[in-house]
Amino acid sequence: MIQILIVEDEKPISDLIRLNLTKAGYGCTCAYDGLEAADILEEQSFDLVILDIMLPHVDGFELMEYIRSLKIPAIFLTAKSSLEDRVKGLTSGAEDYMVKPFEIVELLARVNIVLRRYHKAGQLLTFADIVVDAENQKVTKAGKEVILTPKELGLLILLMRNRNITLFRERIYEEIWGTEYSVESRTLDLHIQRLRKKLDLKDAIKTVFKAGYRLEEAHEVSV
Amino acid sequence: MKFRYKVLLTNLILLSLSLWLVGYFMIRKNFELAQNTQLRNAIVENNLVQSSVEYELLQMINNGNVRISESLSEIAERVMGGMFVESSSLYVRYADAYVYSSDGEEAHISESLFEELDVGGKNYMICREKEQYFIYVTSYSNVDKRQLCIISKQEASDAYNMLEEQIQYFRMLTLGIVLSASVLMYLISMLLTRPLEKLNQVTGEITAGNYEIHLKAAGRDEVGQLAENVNVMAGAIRERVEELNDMIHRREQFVADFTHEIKTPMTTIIGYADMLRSMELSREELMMASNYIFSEGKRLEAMSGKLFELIYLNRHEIEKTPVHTDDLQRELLRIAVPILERKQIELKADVEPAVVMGDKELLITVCMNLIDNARKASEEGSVIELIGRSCKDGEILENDCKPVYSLRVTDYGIGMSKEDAAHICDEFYMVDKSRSRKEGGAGLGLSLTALIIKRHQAVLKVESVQGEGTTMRVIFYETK
Repeated sequence: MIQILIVEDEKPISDLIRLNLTKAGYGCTCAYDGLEAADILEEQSFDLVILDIMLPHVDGFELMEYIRSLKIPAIFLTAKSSLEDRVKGLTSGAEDYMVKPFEIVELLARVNIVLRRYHKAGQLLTFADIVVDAENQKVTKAGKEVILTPKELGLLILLMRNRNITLFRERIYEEIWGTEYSVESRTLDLHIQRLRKKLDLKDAIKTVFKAGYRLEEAHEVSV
Repeated sequence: MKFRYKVLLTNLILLSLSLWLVGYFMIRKNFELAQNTQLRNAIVENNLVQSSVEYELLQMINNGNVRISESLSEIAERVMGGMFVESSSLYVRYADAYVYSSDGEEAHISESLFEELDVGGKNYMICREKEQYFIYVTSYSNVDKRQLCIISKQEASDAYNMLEEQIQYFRMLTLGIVLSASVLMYLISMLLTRPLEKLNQVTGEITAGNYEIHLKAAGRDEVGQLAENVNVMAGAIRERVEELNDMIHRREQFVADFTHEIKTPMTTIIGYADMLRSMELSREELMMASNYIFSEGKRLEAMSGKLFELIYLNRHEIEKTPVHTDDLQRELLRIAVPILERKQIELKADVEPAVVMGDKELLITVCMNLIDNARKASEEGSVIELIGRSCKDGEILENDCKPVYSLRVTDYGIGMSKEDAAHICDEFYMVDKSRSRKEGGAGLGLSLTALIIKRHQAVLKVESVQGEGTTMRVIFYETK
C-alpha cells in the first residue's frame, strides 16, 4: 500500500485529507507540526508527503529541505497563494503546489500524477476482475481482452482512479471531452451504458441522481 | 524668461531712461545758456552799431546834409570798417530798401524779422546758412519819418557745435555706463537668484519622490525663509508618505492575514461538503464532516462579526456617557460566570465604585474579551481576578493626562513570552494557534479590545510571565 504523510496543523483539514486519501486506497499518517513530521519521517518511510507551509516550530520550506534529502516527493498544500510563494515552493524541490481551498478530485489527481512520475503508482489499475493498463491502453476482464474506444477507456480510468467518489457530470465532461457540459447532451450516458455492458459493471457504476456517476466497490461501502 | 533676465532688463530700461532724461535736460539747458550768451553778445554789438550809425547820421543832418540814403551807406561802411570783426556782417535798410551790405550781397533776410517791430525795439532770429548758424539782430528807428533798420549778422555755430559734441559725448558715456551696469547687474541678479534656482531644483527632486533633502538656509531674507519652509514641507511630506506607506503595509498585511485566516474554514467547509455530496460515508464520518462544517462556519461567523465591529469602530465616533463601574461589574458577572463555570474557573471581582466616561456596551466587550483570553489561558479550576481601582493623586502622568481609573484582569494560566505580549493586539495574531482554534478564537478579540481602548483614550498594559500568568490592565485618563 502506498504510504502518504500529511503535515498540516489545522486538525479539520488534516482529517479531511486523511479521510479522502484513505477512501482512495492510500495509507495515511498525520503530523501536526514540522518537528513531529521530521520525527515521523526519521522512523518510517513514505512514498509521498503532503505539507502545509505555515506550520508551528518548523515551517514547510524548512521541512522541505529535509524531505528533499530523503528523496521523497512532496506536494505543498497551503493557503499561501502569492506567485512568490508558489515559485519558492516549486523551486524548493516540491513536485506540486496546491492552494487552499482545494477540491478532492483535484487533490487525488495531483497525488496520482506525482506518484506515477515516481513510478510508485501501479501501472495497472484493477477493479474486481478488470485490469486496465493505462500506458498500453489495454483492458482485460477475467484475463480476456476487451476492446474499448479511447473515450470509453478514458472514462473507465477516470472512474477507477476516483472509485467511491461521485464524479459530477461537469467534471467528467471537462476531463474526457474537454468541453463545457450541456444539459441536453446524452453522450456521457451513452458511454456509461457501453461501459456497463462491455465490462459487466451494471451494479458497480452507480447513477447518482441529478449529479453524475460513481464506481463503487461493494465490499467497502458501509451500510 | 528667467527671473534674473527680467530683473536685468527692467533695471537696464530704467537706468537708460533716467540717463537719457538727465542727459536731455542737461544738454538742453547748456545749449540754451550758450545760445543766450551769443544772443546777448549779438544784441550788444547791434546796439553799438546802431548808436554809432545814429550818432553819425545825426551829425550829418545837423551839418545840413539831408541826403540820407547815400550818406547812410558811407556811415555804415565806416562803422563797419572801424569795429566789425570778420565773422560779422552788417546790413542797413532804409525806407524798406537795403542801402548797405557789408558782405556785398543782398542778405537773405526773411521779412519775418521785421514783423511787429516797434521804434526802439529789437528783433532777432537764428538762421541756418550753408551748414552754419547765424544770428540776425535788427534794430528799428525813425529817421526823417522813415524806417531805418540796422541789421547785424553774427555767426552762432558755436552753441550748435557744442550741442553736437555734447550729444556725441553723452552717447558714448551712456553706452559705457549701460554696458558696465548690465554686467554688474547680471552678476548681482545671478547672486540673488542662485538660491532660487537651487530651490527650484530641490522642489523638482521632491516631486520626483526624493524627500531626503535638507537645504542650507540662505540668509534671513524671503528666499532664506522660503528655503526653510521647503525644508519643513519636505519633512512633513516625508512623514506623511512614511505614514501612508506604513498604513498601506499594515493594510496589505491585514488582507494577507485575513485571506489566510478565512481560507482554513473555507477549505474545511468546502472539503467536507464536497465529501458529503460525492461519497458514501459511515455514520461517524458523517458526524465528523457535519461537525467540522458547523464549527468552522461558526468561526467564520464570529470572525465576520468581529471584523464588522472593527470596521464600524474605525469609521464611527463612540458616544461617551458616564458609566458606573459597579454596573459594569454586575453585567460582567452575569455574562461571564456561566461561561467560566464550564471550566470550573472562579471569577474574583472587586471593582471599586466610580464613574468613568465611555460607551458601556463597548466597555463590557473589552472586559469580556480580557476575561475570555484569561479563561483560554487558564487551567480548569483556576482563578481569574477582575479588580477596579480609582487612581490616587500623584500617580504617574502620561501625555500630561491624569490617570483616573485602572481596571485589571489577572489570570494564573500559561502566560506568554515578551515577544508574544508585544504582538497580541495585532490582527489574527495567536500565541498558540491550536489552543486558540480549539477555543473557537479568530485572532481578532484583542485587536478589537485594543481599538476600543484606544478610542476611549485609555491605555492597555500587558504584564505576563510564562508559566505564571498574565495581567491585562486598562488605565482610563482624565478627559480634557
